[in-house]
Amino acid sequence: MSVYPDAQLIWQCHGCATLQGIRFLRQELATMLVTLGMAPDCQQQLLLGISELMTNVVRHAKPSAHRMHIVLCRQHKVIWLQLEDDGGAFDPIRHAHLAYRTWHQGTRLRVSGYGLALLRVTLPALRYQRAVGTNRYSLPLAA
Amino acid sequence: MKNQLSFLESTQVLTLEGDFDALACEELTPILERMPGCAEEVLVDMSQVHFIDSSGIGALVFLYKRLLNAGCYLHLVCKPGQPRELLRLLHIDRSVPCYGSVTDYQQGITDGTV
Repeated sequence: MSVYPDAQLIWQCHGCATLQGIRFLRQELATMLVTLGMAPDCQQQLLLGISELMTNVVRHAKPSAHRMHIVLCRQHKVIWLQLEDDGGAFDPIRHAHLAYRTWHQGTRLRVSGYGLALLRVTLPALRYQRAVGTNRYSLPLAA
Repeated sequence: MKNQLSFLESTQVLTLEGDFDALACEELTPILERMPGCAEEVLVDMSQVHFIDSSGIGALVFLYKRLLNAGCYLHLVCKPGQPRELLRLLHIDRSVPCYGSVTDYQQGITDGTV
């Protein structure tokens, strides 16, 4: 994974694009966030958002993703989280707005459809970029 | 995710432990699809669940609707923490009664939602 040109790598972790891989990456990231001293409520929000993002990749990427990779790096004074996968192109941000509107205006309980809405709620600063067969999601964590 | 079925008087109790994520849902689906059994009241004890995502929420809503269609009722035990916060954010607790403990359920003390 290519981090920002002048960024300093803090931590990285690879996982399979499977439901087991999601849990592994989430739990590894959780351990790292504790080490970084992130506030518990921020940790919860981030872990939920990243979990929703990875679940979306595993369940819906066409062609399917095989690998996922999370990087934490520091650029200037900002810590960035990057998630990359090798599945088909998918911009979750565009779809998340629609999912959020649908959820927010609805009154009935639904069995599905919460994932992308939660992505918008938990990771409002998420950025998406498609580059050389790779989906790259970036998120500034803290200054 | 660990799970265990038991009875508390006439209530069927499903006790969960671990992360309630998409992987856990795959494991739990056969159990949820066998419900309701003979009990009219079902209690899902999530005291030992410290993380839930939209897949877990979807599984709970699936169970809630399945029970309702059969004339049965779902109750949740959920301590303060991420799962309780998400149930509140998604307004699940407006439809499904949430309790702070099994004892609170037995005494009919909800945590102020339903």
